[in-house]
Amino acid sequence: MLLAAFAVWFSSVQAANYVQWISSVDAGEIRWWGSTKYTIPLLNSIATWNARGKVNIAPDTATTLEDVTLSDVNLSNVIWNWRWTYSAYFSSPIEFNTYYLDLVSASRKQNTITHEFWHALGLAHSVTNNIMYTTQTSLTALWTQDIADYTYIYGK
Amino acid sequence: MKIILKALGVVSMLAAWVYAGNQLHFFGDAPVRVIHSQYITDLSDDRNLVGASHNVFVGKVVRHVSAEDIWALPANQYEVEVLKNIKWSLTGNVTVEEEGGYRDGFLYVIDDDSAVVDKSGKHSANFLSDGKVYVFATRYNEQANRYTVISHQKWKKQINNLSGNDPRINELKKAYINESPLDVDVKAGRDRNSFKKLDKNQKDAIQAP
Repeated sequence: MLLAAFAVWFSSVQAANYVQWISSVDAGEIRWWGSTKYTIPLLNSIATWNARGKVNIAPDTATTLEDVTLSDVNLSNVIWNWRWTYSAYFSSPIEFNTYYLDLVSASRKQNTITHEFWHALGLAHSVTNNIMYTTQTSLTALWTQDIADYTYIYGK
Repeated sequence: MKIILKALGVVSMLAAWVYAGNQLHFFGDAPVRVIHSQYITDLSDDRNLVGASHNVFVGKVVRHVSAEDIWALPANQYEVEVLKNIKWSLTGNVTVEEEGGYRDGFLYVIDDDSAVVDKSGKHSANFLSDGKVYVFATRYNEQANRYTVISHQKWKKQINNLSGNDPRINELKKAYINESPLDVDVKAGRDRNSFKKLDKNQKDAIQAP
């Protein structure tokens, strides 16, 4: 009976918030390694997340283990502009597809990278007019559902 | 001796914990790794779906032929017999590939496509099957001369009506006439087989009832 009650509560939580229950967060931070040509949107996106104050996204150092590894790829035969492959105890690769990203605006690049780190923080695709909508847009600021989902996982 | 055995026991437990903790869930005997991505266009609109494709066609999977990666992540290739064209004209048998597959004991699935999620949140695979007929929406892999299935469930629909009268086929034909090619494809000269590039006879043939 307790299990059933938990299942009902869990389902209702899932319906209200868009979370994926897996992330690259390790001890309150995400350490990134590797490189991408999109340095400025990367740094802007990291600033957006770090401003929330709960998870620190920072470069990997000699005394830390990287949580995600960044790289660029050039693939015209796929439909995604980036991908993140989750791994709990090894570095999760994050790949940016330059075939699409080279020709989009700076705001769309930033939207893409912010969205990607959002997945690494543990959130799933959500609704329109938010960074976490499934499709690339020109939004660069977090919106209501983005903030609600982040707050749900990490608190205010 | 007791200390050695205890130490071995602790190490074994730690190893098992690390291995188990690396997995989200299992499909059969294989732990699953879900690949998350963001799409370049809104695939819920068929005009965008077809516009982002280089070929859209009905085909029958003849056999699985290989499991070669697409840029460091697993993928599978299949021989497919082309039955009916919706966007452009393929003939005979072609090689179709889809992202996702097995590697080193892990099952890799694409969120939104090859991953099917049940009510408990457990992922399972939804890969192409030999002998089945699908409507495919693909982009051309120039280096390998293959047709890569667009990684979204809406782009790989199994159909049971071999005569080709599945309503999904007509929906996609209409969308082709009003398609929205990707800006990046147009700028790069890779808007292959776009409706605008067809000559009058070809357009008339597609628009004919």
